[in-house]
Amino acid sequence: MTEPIVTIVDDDEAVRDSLALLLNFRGYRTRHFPSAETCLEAWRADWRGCLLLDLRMGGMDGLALQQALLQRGSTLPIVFLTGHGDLAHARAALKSGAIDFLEKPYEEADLLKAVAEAIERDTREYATHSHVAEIATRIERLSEREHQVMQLVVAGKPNREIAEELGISPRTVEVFKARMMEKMHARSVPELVRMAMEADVIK
Amino acid sequence: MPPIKLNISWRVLLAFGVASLLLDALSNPQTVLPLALAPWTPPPGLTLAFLLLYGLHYAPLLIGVTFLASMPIYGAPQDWLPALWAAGLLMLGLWGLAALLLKIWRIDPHLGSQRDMSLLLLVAVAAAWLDASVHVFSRSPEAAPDAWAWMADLVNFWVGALIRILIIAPLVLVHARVEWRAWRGWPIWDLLGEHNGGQTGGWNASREILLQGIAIAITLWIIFGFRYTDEFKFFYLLFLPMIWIAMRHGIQGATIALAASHVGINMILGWQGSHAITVVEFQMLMLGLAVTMLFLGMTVSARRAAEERLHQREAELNQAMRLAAAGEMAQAIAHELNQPLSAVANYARASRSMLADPARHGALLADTLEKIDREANRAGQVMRRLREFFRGGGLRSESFTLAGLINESLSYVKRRAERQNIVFKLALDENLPSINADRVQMGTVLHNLLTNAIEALAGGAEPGEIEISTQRAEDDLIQVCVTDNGSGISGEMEGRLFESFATSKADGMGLGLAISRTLVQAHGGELWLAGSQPTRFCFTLPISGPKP
Repeated sequence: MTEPIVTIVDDDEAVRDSLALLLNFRGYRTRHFPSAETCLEAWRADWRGCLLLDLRMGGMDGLALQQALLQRGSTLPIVFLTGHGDLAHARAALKSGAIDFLEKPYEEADLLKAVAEAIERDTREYATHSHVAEIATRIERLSEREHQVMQLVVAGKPNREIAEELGISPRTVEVFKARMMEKMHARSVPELVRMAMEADVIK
Repeated sequence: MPPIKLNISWRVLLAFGVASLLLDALSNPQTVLPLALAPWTPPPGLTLAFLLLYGLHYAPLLIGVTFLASMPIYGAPQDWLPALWAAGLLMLGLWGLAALLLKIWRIDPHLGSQRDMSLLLLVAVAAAWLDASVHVFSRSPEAAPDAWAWMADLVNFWVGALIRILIIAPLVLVHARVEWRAWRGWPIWDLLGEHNGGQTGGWNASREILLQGIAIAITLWIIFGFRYTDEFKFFYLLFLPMIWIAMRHGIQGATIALAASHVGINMILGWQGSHAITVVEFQMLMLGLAVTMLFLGMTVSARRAAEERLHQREAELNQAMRLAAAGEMAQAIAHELNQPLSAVANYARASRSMLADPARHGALLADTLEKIDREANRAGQVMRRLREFFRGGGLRSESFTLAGLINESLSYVKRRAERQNIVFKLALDENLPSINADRVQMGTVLHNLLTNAIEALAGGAEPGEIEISTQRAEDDLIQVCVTDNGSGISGEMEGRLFESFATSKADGMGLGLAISRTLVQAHGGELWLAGSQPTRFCFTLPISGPKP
């Protein structure tokens, strides 16, 4: 898992530089870009952390960058910084999922709170995301028989019925079930059911 | 159903009584036809106008007022029942016609358009017929022996009644909104020599009204004065002064002039003892004159109202654009200042953390302080640029007269002032030369001072008055002062007047006076508070323009 980094995009050099310096001293790693275009070019799907975007920039502005990133599937939380208390833009930005909207000049506490919240949300989302992916790979590794057995187990059927349905002996079912439970790293049937639900195998 | 509340004012009834007596005295219908009922029936034109203006529910009361008013002069009618019956019938008809105008055709009772006037004319024809029939039918049979004489009387009376309605109803309707309490400010008083310093061109306007009155009198003299010609040979001449008046004063002037000439002709006819036949022919001419003048006056008024609306909208647009430009500039300045300020704040916050371990961060701290200094300078430069924009560099000097600029500024605030019943007094030195200055900026200064004065007068008990005066202060200086008769400026506010963001208004920014003073100073002049009771602001401007 990559480390969370605060990505700063602002066309004013002093603002960019001072923000990075301040956030570094508050324990965050930062990277910064002088324009929306350079940021978009450098963007990679595995970026973690959050974005600090200036709303108004020459060329592509903050809102356009937000849209472009959303289109490419980025889930990075965005905090907007703006010099104008521009309600219409704020509404548009928040509607598209921006986490916060800070008006310059802002208090340090507000800035740190917004950044912390954004990073926390990203970490949480990433954790859920990777957990689900893990379960999915485990399910993929099951053999066809083991997969069938798992489906019937989480459907709540006893071994006898499973054997009948699959046309094999209850003993064989026991063997498949044990192997499946081991591959799924499930210690009990309820835990298996929870995993299946998280991975969206059953509703 | 909610209870209907009828609003009845004694003033309206009193006005109706006085006006109907006045009409009775002036028109004296006996000279035309000997009639039994005349004094006790409500005059139809006046009644129609009052019903339109004050409400249909006045109808029964107006009959009562007419009876009461005519009682002391004519005594009680001998056959009071038929008299009451005729008055009631006429009133019912007028009530129906007024209801038709108000509820079905929905005209503006103050006659705002040609359509209103046309519909009123139509209704007047019907009302006159009603008036004529009520009177002619209720006469004793021996007044008209045969059907022909009877018909002739009906038509004769009909035309006469129509003229009276056409003269009285529009006269009352278009003047009902005149602010009578402001009579002292009317330009007409200038004629009496009382100089009120007042409205621009006041003297000229009143002189013109005087000339128009004289013109009507001369025309009447030409029509009736020459004994050896037929009276109506020259009647068309009366159209000339009437057209002049209608063109200059719209429907208001046309209705007054019509009434005046009608009264004049009636008096001359009564005095000369004209024959009935002459009267009929005069009636036809008078009818033609009345209809022509009413429509001409209406056209002029409607066109003027349209022009006024256009001008007002233009002025509002101008003002809005000026405000938008100011707003845009404020936003640009805010952005320009925000960037270095946020950077300074960020650097300072980081520096505080560096101080926790100076040994390790010493070099970085020095570097950061250097950056803080640089950003503070950048903010300072924004301010310097802003000051240069206002001073010298941004000035577009042109030559203009202050009187012209003052009149333009007044036109922007006129409507607002009218709503608050504020009167402007001008005391302008007419010998002042043109000045060299930025016209837009000086307009902003004047506008600020005028709107401040208007806002200071809001909600005051006395009628508001704002005086604008210009005079030469020194060889090269002109002084402009704006004085209002509001409650004055508190001592606490006085000290902070010219500070930015100092305001006593609920929705004010407190920038008006600060900006105005900057603009005047940029021209080499000064703006100051010359008196706090009453409030007087003065500023000076060099005639030769700002020094480079």
